[in-house]
Amino acid sequence: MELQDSKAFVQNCFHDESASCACACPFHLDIRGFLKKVAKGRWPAAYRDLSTAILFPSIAAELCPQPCRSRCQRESLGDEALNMAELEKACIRFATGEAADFRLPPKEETVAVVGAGPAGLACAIGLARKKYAVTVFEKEQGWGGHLRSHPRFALFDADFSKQFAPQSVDFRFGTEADFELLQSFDTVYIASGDGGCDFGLGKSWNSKNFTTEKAGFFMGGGVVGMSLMESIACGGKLSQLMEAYLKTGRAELIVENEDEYCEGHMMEHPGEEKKAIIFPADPENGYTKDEAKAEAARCMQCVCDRCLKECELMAHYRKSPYKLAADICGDSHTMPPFSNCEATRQTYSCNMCSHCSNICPEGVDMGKLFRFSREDRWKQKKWVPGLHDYWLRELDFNGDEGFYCSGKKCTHLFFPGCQLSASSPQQVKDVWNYLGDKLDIGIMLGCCGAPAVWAGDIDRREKNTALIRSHWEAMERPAIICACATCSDMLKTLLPEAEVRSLYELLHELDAPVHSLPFAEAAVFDPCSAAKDEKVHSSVASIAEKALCSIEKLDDGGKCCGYGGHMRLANPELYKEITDNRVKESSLPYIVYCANCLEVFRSKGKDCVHILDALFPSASSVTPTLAQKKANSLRLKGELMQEIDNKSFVPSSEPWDSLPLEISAEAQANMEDKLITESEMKELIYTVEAERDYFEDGSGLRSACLMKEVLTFWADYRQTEDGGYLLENAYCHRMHIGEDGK
Amino acid sequence: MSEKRVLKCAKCDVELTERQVMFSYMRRSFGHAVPVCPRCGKAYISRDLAEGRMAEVEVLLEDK
Repeated sequence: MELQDSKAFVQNCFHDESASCACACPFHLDIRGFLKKVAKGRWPAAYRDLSTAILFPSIAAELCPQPCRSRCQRESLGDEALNMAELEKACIRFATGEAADFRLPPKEETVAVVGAGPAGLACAIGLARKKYAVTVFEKEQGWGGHLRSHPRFALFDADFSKQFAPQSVDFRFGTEADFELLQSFDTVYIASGDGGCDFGLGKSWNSKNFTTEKAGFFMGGGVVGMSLMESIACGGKLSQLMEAYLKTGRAELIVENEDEYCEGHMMEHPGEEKKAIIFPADPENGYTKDEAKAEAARCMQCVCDRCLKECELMAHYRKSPYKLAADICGDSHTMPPFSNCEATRQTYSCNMCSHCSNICPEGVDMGKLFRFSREDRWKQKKWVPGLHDYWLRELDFNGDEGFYCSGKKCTHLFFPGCQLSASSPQQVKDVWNYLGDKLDIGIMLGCCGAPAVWAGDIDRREKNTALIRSHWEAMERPAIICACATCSDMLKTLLPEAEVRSLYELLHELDAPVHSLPFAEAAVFDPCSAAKDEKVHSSVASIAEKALCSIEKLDDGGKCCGYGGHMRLANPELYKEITDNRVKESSLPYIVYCANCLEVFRSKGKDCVHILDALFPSASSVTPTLAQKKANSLRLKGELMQEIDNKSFVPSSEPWDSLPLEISAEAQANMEDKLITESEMKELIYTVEAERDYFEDGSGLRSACLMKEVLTFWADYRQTEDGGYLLENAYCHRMHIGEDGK
Repeated sequence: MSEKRVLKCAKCDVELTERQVMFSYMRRSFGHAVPVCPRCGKAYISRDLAEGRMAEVEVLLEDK
């Protein structure tokens, strides 16, 4: 992975960009930072910002035309822009202490500056602070250039004195610069002012990097037609460019940074209140400290951070999209155990719900970046198999023993999805029977491939897609009707040539009969994978309204219930935070149309029904266990095979299937939480009992383990009087016990 | 399960004793003392250990 590969996902993000006001500022002063300090009354720190960026704060405060104000986003709310000039003056007045300086050793390189006007002085102060030996030639008897005749020159004079006080600069006033002498300096800046001498180099002046045909001779300021503020800003910039020249000796390498000249993004400010501009009560003396602080506090600190605020994952780690893209690229090049990754946990903690993309003004989708990273880690075998092992084995089951396709040519294909088949097989049959009376329809039981996509497992994804495609093509490419929004989303991407439709849209069109639901009022929770599908939203809302008195539309912007991305094992704390937040979005019961949302909300104790319950009432409102889900899937397949193909289906069996096992409530809860199946526990007990390969305490409680490829399972169980077993505890770990611990 | 259990290896009929065992994960390996059958060498990992310190170390190593 190259940096540009990961950054391509976030290239439109402008979180790290300067604010629009700073982009307009000739000095690119970090106005947000400056105003934040002023608002807190941190006068010396605020002054340091001014003096470092603007070089001569008093001149800017008095004479800058303030282009920043035309880009102040307060104006978009109907307010006046921040009163920058008065705030700068207040800061200059209230700040105590010396001008900015750097503790650096003196340098040997010599610099000549021609002209002690604002442009020359700006360059001289910049290089003097970096401790170069600076000599300033000025034909007049003092500094200031054309400002010497300004009525407020005394103020500017004091500012020059203050800034140069800590520096050692050789000012040669009343001295015309001699070209021969200038050539003895390592570099020269010609800033002789409007109509000043350009030593014949004006025609070769390069406006991009301020060079001339004479190597080491730079030019800027009034002599090349710059305004006062441009001249000071140019002088400051020249001090950096000349230093770069002194270090590399190659002026042609110095190029302008285009980024500095962007306009800055204007953004929306939802929830921001209007705040009227504050003027000094005493205009003669300017702001009091409190007035200045209050005016600076009007700054909205414009930065786009909607994803960092609204997405629990982004809010938790507080890394900007660019930083994450850089970390993800870095992770791709780490060599464990010699170097460490930075963003593994973030990568596997994303729900991949695209909520960030939906709220981002530029549509940046962090989920796509994380998916790219997951695939990269999988390719390099740097992934964490234990975080996705259960779901990948489930995918394998649904692509093998759990898979079924009616096979015959048809115009429509019902794809209920593995989760609905496992949790509510009767409803799948009810839908199938209902649609069978209305349409030429087939059915396919299987998985859309989401577990492989979310794990970054490319092989499994391609194998599963090939399985679906081959059957779909054999049925002569019917329109696929999905009961699960994630399946719709996945199949639209993985099988782009297929027409994919939502079951709920179709049932609404068919005007399927609706039964009443147990609530008079409920909120519809639209699944994240259908966040932008308004047609499905309205279809489900219509069905729900037919079954209920009133419906509340949740304004969550399509956030995931928590299930997406299979991040639950990777980040249990964040999973809890996300699911807690979703449940709290409304005190009303939820109506969902995704089997995963239903399971998540019911696991949190939230009153919740599937929209299918209004169409094909379900007898159960309890989430089945993992074992029941598998049994449901197989039973559904068997019943459909019998009904459609008139064939019987006998699921494969294992010798431990008939092991009499009772599971305590605590063990069952932990198994559901940690995704440990009953079959795994039966296999464990069956295997260890055959060889007495277990530990036992005085109470008869036995403990034993079963090491699988990815996980090691443990059971605490005891034999019952009737020869069966009671499982009291089930747990697992991802770490491997070495050979010495067997 | 926080009470310490006195365990016997059923196969060897001997009490477990604490011993250093090597663990490996995410291309790294390290030793830790856990109850082990002194005869067959099989190690016992309690739920407290698996879901406590061991889970913490798993996360640390996965993040590296």
